[in-house]
Amino acid sequence: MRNTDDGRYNVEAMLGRISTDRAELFLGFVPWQEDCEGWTRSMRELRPESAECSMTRTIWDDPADRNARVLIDVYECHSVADAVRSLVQMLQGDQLALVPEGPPGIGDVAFMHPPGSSPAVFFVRGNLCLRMASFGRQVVPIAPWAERIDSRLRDRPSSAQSLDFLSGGEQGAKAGEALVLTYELPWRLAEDGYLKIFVEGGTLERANGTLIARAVQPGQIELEAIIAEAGRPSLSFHRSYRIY
Amino acid sequence: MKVREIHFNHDPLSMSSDAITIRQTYAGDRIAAPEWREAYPALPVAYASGALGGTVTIKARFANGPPNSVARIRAIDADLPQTGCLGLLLYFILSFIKTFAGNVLGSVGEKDVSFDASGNSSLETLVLANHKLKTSAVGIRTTRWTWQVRGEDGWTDFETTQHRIYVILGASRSPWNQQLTPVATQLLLGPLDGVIFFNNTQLPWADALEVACSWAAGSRTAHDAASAITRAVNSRTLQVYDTQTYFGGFWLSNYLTMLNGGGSFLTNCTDCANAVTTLANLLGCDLWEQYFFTPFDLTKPFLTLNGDPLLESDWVSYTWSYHEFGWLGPANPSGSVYDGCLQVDMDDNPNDEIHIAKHPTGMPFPGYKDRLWDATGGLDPAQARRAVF
Repeated sequence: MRNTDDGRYNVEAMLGRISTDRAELFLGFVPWQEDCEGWTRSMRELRPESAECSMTRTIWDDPADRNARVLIDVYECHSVADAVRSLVQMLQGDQLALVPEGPPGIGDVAFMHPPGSSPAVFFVRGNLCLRMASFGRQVVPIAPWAERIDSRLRDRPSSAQSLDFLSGGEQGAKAGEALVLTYELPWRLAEDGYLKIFVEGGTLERANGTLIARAVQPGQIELEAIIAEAGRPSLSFHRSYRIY
Repeated sequence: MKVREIHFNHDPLSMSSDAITIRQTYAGDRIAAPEWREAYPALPVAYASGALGGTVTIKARFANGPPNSVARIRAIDADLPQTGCLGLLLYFILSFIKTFAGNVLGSVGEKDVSFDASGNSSLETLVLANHKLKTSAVGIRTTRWTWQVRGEDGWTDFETTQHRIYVILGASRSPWNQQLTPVATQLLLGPLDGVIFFNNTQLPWADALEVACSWAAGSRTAHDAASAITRAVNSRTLQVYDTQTYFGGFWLSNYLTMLNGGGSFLTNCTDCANAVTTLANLLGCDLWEQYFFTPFDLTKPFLTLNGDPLLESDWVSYTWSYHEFGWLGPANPSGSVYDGCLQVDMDDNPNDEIHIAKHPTGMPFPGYKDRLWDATGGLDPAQARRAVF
C-alpha cells in the first residue's frame, strides 16, 4: 500500500467537512447478520499489528452462491480525523487513477468504485472507517449494503432501560478544553455488541481508554450513549455537560 | 529401548549444522526442539540448504536402554527397498517418488550411547549420513526412520519415527529473519534450553513454508523458485483481480486463510507483489517490492490475474495511478520483474486479438514496461519488504 500523500485525495478538505458541533463515536462495532441479508459470516478476524486504528474484517457469503461474497472491514479509530486519514490511506492503496466520491448520503465522507470496477464503497462515520466490497467472483451491488450499515450506525433505538456507564466531567470544562470521561460497563458485552455515543454541541474522541469531549463554544454538550447487543433490547442514557 | 525425543534445531542461533528456527503460524508459537517427542505429534522442521556446512547433526535422547551400559544405536530409512524382483521395481518407483517427496535426511549414523542406572541416556549428538539436504530442490519431504540397536545377532528395530521436512534454498530473507533475543540477556550465560525469547513473529511460519515449498517444489535456484512462486500467485483459481489492496502490510495470515477458505476473493497488484516477494524470500530468494508510478495512461492489454489467454474478455486494460511487482535488483531500470498479478502480451501488436501470454518472471524491466505502457513513468527509489502478520 502506498503511504505517501500523492495529492489525489485532499485530507484537509475532507476534515473541513466534519462538524465541530456534533459527533459520533463507536466502540466495538461489527456488522450483524441482520445487516447482511442473513448471509453466512465465513470470516471474522481482527487485523493484528494495527498502529492507529484496530480493524475487524468480516466476510459474508450468500448461502445460495459461494462466489457471491461481501467483505466489510471496520477500522475503529480514536477520532474522526484518524478515520479520515485511514480512509485516504485506503484510497491511496487503490490502483485506480482516482476513486470518485459517493454514493451520496452515506457517511461523513464516502467514496466508491466507478462502474466497470469491482463494486466497493469506502466511508467514514464518526470514528469508523469502513470498506465494503463485493469480494467474490460474482458481482454484488454494494451500495445497498453500505446504506444499510450506515443506517444501522445512525440508528438511535428508543430504550426503556437506562444504564449510565460514564463517569467524570461533572464540573464541566472550558470551551476548547478537554472534558475527560471514563467508561466502564458492568458486564462484558456479548459477542458483536457495541457502544455508540452521539454528541451534540461538541466533538468526541477516544484516548488511552478514556473519552475526550470538547466544545468550541460555551454552552452544553449533550451526549446520548447506546449499548447495542444482538437479540437484546438496547440500553441508553442521556447526559449533559456544562461548557463555560 | 525407545526414543524419548529428537532435536533438529538444536542450536537456534545457527543454521549451518542443524535446522532453522521457525514458528507454527503468525499467532502460533515458536517451534522449539525437540520437534519429535514421545507421545506428542511431530512438529515440522525446516533446513536452509545453502546455509548448511559439511556435517548436519541432530540430538536425541533414549530410554529403556541397558542400565549402566552402552548400546550402539542408528536409524535407517524406514522405506528401504525390498529384496527380489518386486523389491527392485519398488526400489525404482520409490526412488523416483523420493526425488520429490521422500527421505531427505538420509540415515542417522551409528553411535555408542551410554545409559545410566535407570536406562536413560543423555542428549546425544548424532550425525546424519547420506543426507540430501545440500543437493535437494525446494520441497516438502517426509522422512521415516527405523531406529535400531546393535545386538549379538545384528541390528534390531525398536522404533519408527516420522518427520515432515521443509527444504528451502538458503536463509530466509527479509521480512523473515532468525533473530532470537532472549528476554534477559544474562540468560545467554546458561544453556539455551529453557531460555525464554521475545516473541518474534518474523521467524518463518510453518504454514507459509507449507505453501511456498509446495508452490516452488523442485526449484533449485533462486530464479526458479521466484518464478514458480510468481506463476503460482498468478494462477490461484480463487483469486480475482481488483484495484484495491486487501492484505496491505502484509497481512499474510489472512491471505493464507483466504487461499485455504474455498471462496473466491479479491487481490490487487500490491497484494500479489507482497505474496511473491514474501513467499520467495521465505525460500531464500532476494526480491523486493517495487513501485512503478504510472502516468495515468491506459495500459496496453494484459492478461488479468488467473486469466484464460484464450478468452478475449480476460485481456484487460486499466488506467492506474501506480503498479507494484516483485523485483530483483536495485531500484533502477536494470532490475528484473517478477509480477504475479498479470501476464504480459508478447505479441507486438497490442491492438489486435492475437495475444501471447507470458508470466513476467525475471523479465528485464525495460522490456516489461514496454509491454504495458508507451509512456515513461518512474520507479520509486524506496523499495519495500513488508513485515508479515
